[in-house]
Amino acid sequence: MRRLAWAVCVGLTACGTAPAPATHQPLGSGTLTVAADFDGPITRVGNTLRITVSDDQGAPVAGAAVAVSATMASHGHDAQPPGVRAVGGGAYAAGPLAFPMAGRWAVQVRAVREADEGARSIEVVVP
Amino acid sequence: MTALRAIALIAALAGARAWAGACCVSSTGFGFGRLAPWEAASATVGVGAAPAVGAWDDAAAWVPDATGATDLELRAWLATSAAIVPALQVSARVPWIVTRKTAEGLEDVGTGPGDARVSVRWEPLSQVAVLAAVGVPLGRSRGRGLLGADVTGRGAFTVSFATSVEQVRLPWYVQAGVGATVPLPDGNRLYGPSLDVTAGVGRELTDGVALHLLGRFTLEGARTDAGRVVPSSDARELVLGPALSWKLHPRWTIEAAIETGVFLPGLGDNRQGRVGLFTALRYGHFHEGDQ
Repeated sequence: MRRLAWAVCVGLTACGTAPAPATHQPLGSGTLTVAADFDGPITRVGNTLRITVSDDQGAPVAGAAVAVSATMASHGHDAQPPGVRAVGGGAYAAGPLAFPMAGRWAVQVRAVREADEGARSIEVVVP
Repeated sequence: MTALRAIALIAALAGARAWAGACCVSSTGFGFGRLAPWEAASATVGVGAAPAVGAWDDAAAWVPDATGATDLELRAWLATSAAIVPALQVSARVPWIVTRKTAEGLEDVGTGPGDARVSVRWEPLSQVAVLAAVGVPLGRSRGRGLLGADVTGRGAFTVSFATSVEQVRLPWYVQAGVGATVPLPDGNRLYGPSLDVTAGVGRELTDGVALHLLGRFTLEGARTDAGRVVPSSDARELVLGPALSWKLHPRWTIEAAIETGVFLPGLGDNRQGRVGLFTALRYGHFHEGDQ
């Protein structure tokens, strides 16, 4: 029986399903428009999120307070919030973002400048 | 007396096994604790290791770890049981967890106490037991490291009720049980209630040596965050494992066991898949002449 159990656990680990591609869904309806995308394929650690913030006229917004969080809703896990730095022209970079576990994660980006606010949620599948 | 000997072996097994992955720590599980009829108390110390080999995603598809990332959980635990009267026992278990995770050159190691459990077992009839337990969230439920290796618990008190039956036809014996666990809120987060169904069969191989196969199926309801049900957060898991128990002395029993998920699509949902190996040493205290 022990041999059978090992055969089950070892022999079947090669099967499974490929991760689904990332999808992007706008979250909020604030007066700031937030665009965000990862600068490369999603990995477990070392991810950097490229963010742009613009106002309702489409002009870039510098000096916004930008925060990034990531949650694995199905398990209730949270990732450590990455640092965010402004790179100029209404653009920001957030990273490194590490995901504690493979699976489906929701990455939320929130930007606030004075009374204006905007948000975006990105769903990713971490391999 | 032979039936009592088999029950003693069941007692050793029931008191020793309680695996749960720290990352996705189950609020339910085996290990409510059990004394043989002549025992006044017992103490168990155990150690185990359980590497993760993949996970079931929220569509119940099995996704093996294929990126080179590792997740190894080491667990030690202390458990003790005492008889208030022969038909009424109290038990407690406290685990200590060390987790090491690596991914893409990053290493994250965390350690700390896991969630503890205090339980009461009442046998209104011979070989029929009713159990109640409280899970105490001693573990850390929110990680501070990049890979969350220091998460050692769920962060919520739980209340469990279960019933189990045993039947002995030496050299065989069987167990079956069903239990329900209701978590209490952890801040804005509320895990769903869960239902456990367990079944086991064992055979005494020689005097004092038994081989046991135990299975557990767990269904857990969806989680609620800030009053909103989190879609696709319900979970299920089937866990199987053989255990070998050797009563090397009337007071001492040693056990070795494997506990593993069945890594097939649909046989888990929203759970990590681990292969756990553990060993435990149990001391059963009784007064001379009581056995």
